[in-house]
Parts: sequence; structure tokens; C-alpha cells
Amino acid sequence: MRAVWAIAYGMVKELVRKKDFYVLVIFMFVLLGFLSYQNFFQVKGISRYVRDFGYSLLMFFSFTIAVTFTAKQLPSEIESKTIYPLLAKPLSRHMVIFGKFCGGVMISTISFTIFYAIFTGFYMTGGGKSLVLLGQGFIFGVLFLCMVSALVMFFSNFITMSANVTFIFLLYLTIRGFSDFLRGIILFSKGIVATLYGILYCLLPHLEFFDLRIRITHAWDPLPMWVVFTVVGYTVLYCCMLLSLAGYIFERKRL
Amino acid sequence: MALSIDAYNRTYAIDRSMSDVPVFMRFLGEGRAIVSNLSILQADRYFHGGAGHFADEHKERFAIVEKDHKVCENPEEHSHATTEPVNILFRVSQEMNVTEHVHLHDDQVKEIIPWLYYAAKIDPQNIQSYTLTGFYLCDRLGKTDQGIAFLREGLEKNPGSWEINAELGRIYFQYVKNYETATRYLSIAAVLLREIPHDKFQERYVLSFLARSYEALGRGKDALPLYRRLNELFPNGVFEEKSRNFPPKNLSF
Repeated sequence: MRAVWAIAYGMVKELVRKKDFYVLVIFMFVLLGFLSYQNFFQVKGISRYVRDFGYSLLMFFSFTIAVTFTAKQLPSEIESKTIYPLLAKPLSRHMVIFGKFCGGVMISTISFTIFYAIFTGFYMTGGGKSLVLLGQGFIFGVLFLCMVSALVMFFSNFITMSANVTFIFLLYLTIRGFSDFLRGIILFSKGIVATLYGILYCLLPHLEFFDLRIRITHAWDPLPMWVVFTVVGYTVLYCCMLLSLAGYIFERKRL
Repeated sequence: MALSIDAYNRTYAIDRSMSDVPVFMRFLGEGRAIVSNLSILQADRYFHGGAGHFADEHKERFAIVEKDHKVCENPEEHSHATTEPVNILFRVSQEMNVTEHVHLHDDQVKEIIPWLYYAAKIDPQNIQSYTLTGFYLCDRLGKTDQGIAFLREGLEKNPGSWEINAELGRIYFQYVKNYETATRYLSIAAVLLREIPHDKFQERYVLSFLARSYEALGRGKDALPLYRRLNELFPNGVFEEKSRNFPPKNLSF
């Protein structure tokens, strides 16, 4: 585990060194500050659109950090040949993949936590009260970043960094846009077609499960606990499956 | 580039000048009409507590345009068609979606104002954004002065709009009780409406307020032909008595 920690810690240092994160934090703070102080016809207490923008921004920024930082790990190490000293250590390739995954999750979670703290500040000043919902939003955000990091690590085995980033963004948009549509098709089809679509539905990563934007923005009730536990279980299972596959493929890969 | 686009619009698309649009929005070109409409749709979504429209409701128009804004009394009538969940992922997906049908009420309606405001700023030719904002500011939030100022701003940018004239006339009639100004705006609206294809409901909207404004000013002679026209449009209705009895005996508004 010490080796995994060392790999992950190296990625965290990279986050601290690079300016991307700081720029995003400042941008988010300034934009939300600007939106909060907007005056619309002297109507006081308008807050939902600030929450909406805030939550969307923090998820998008965290997603971007998770994808870009994780996607460049394996390809850049292989390209610069720094992977060889790493593999020369008493460390299995599975552990390298796991270490990179942990690093991706750590840096995106650190960024997410800071973005979420800023968002929480604006949420509270805007009259938001549901701490349970805020807590669920945080948990789901971290789970979402785990899922994204696992997906990026898996696809790092096959494609270059830029292709990986593009693919994950497209995958995210497709799943967000068509998941309900696919569900509708399954419900209204029969026989072998329904089975095939059902399998496809189960295999796809359900990134839409982690989005609590509408609930937080419009102050809906928190999710039932069984849903939270199911989503946690689903994420853990899906990540384990992806990382095992990624490790297996990486082990058989000629470097 | 923005200046070039604006120059083009001034030269070739006089009706779509972008001089009133913020510089960064000019880059959108004609696409700003789409963005502006998206902003109105977002306001509509907010009005429904983020859930949006369901298939079996508001077939003809958006609820945001309707005048009855109360919490829905029978939410189960509008809830999503529920199907027996096939597996656990389906059940989670169903739980994640907000399916309860609500309308914002009282003070909460203010939450839609930013989207309507941005819709108008992005595309000043989007007339609906002005009329909706005017309606919510005056009728729901009690900001009559701000509503009138915004509608006047809209009228400056869209002088040929019967809708904005009619809305201004209605507000002057209902809230300011300045019947002289109300008749001025409503008369312009009636003239503008006559020049374009319209339905009888739109005509009723303008003429009924105009007739009532004339009544309030004691100009029964001017009100009578309007009531007769309204009775032609909607026979055997509320206008029948007023179109027969002249001068009207029971004024009620």
C-alpha cells in the first residue's frame, strides 16, 4: 500500500504545482459572487439560479480535473519511459493501475471538496437549509469522481490521452442525454430485443445517478437511504470491475 | 468580429439589429434567438420545481403563460407514468428523477425572473420574454413600476409589438388605474393586431381591456362597438348583456 500511496501522492503534488486548479477556484468564486450580487428588478432573495450555476460549475470543474489529470498518467509515463523504473520496483502492474486510480480520485476529491466548500458558502447565504441533501451531494460527487477516474484508467490502456479525454466527455454527454431514452426502449420492447437492451443498460456506466443538481437547486427532499447505499454499492462494484480489467489488460500489454 | 456581425445585421437584417445586445452575445449571431428561448424554457422548468413538463399536461401552451398559478391540487394526475421496475438500476433511476408535479407559488415565483431577464437581454426581439416578465413582476411580485419600465424598454426595441402594447395597457388599467394611458396602449395594440393574422382569444384579450378602459373613462359610446365585436366573437357569453345594454348599467372591473 505504501507504493500505491507514493504514486497517488505524486499526482497530488502535480495538482498543487499546476495552475489549472487555482484558476478554476478563483473563476468559480468570482462568477458565483457576481451572480449572487446581481439585482433583478429589486426583487430580493433570488437564489436558485445561483445554486444551479454553482452546482453545475463545481461538478464540471471536478469532472474536468479528474479526466485530464488521470488521462495523462499512463500514456505520458509510457511515452517518457518513466514507467520502466516504476515497474522495476516490487510492484505489480495491477498496483500501478490502482495507484494511478487512487491518485486520480484523491486530486479530484481534493478539488471537489474545495469547490464544494465555496458552493456551500453561497448555498447557505442564499437561504439553503438541507444539510442532509448537501451531505448526499458531497457523497455522490465523490462517487462520481471515482467512477470517472476508473473509466479513464480503463480506457488509458487503449487510447491516447487526448482521445481518452474526448471519449469520456462524449460518453458522459451521451449517457446523460440518452439514459432515460434507453430505459424507455427497454420498458416498451419485448423478447430478445428487450434482453439485449437490458444488458446494454446494465453495462453502461450510469453517470446520471450522481447528479443531484435539481434536488439541491429546487430544495427537494433528500434521497432515501436505500438509494444512497445502492449507488455506493454500484459504484464500488463498477470501479472494481473496471480496475481489474484495466490491470489485466495492462499486465498483458507490451511496453 | 462582433462589430462586423452587427454591421451586417444593420445592413441586411434591419429587424434584427444587435446594437442592444451585449457585445459577447453578438458572437452568437442568429443563434441568440435559440439561447433566449432556452432561457425561457429554463424559467418554465424552474416554475415546475425543476421537473419540467410531463407528457400529459399543458398540451397547448406552457403553464408559465397561463394565468392560474397555484400548487397543483392533484399531483398524482400529472406524475410520470410508472412502470414496474425491471431491475434495481431501473428503480434507482426512477428514484433519482423528480416526478412530483408542483408550480411555484406566492413569493417563490421570483426564482424564474433571472431566466426571463436573461432571455430578454440575449435577444431583445424575444417579445414573450418582456410580456412574461411584465406579468410576473406586476401580477405576482407587486413590482408594478419595474414591470412597466421593463415593458417600455421592450417596446422601444419592438415598437411594432401588439403584445407589449396590450400588456402595458392591461397593467395601466388593472394596477395603475390610469385609464387614459391604458386606452392609448390598447388602441395601438388593437390596430397592430388587426394587421396580422390572429385568433379570437388574442382579439378578446385586447378588446375587453380596451372596452373596460373606455367604460372607466365614461366613454360608453366608444366601448359599445367593442362589446358588440366581442359578442360576435364569443356569442351568448359575458359580453352579450353589455353589447345590448347601452349605456351599461352594471360596471364591474
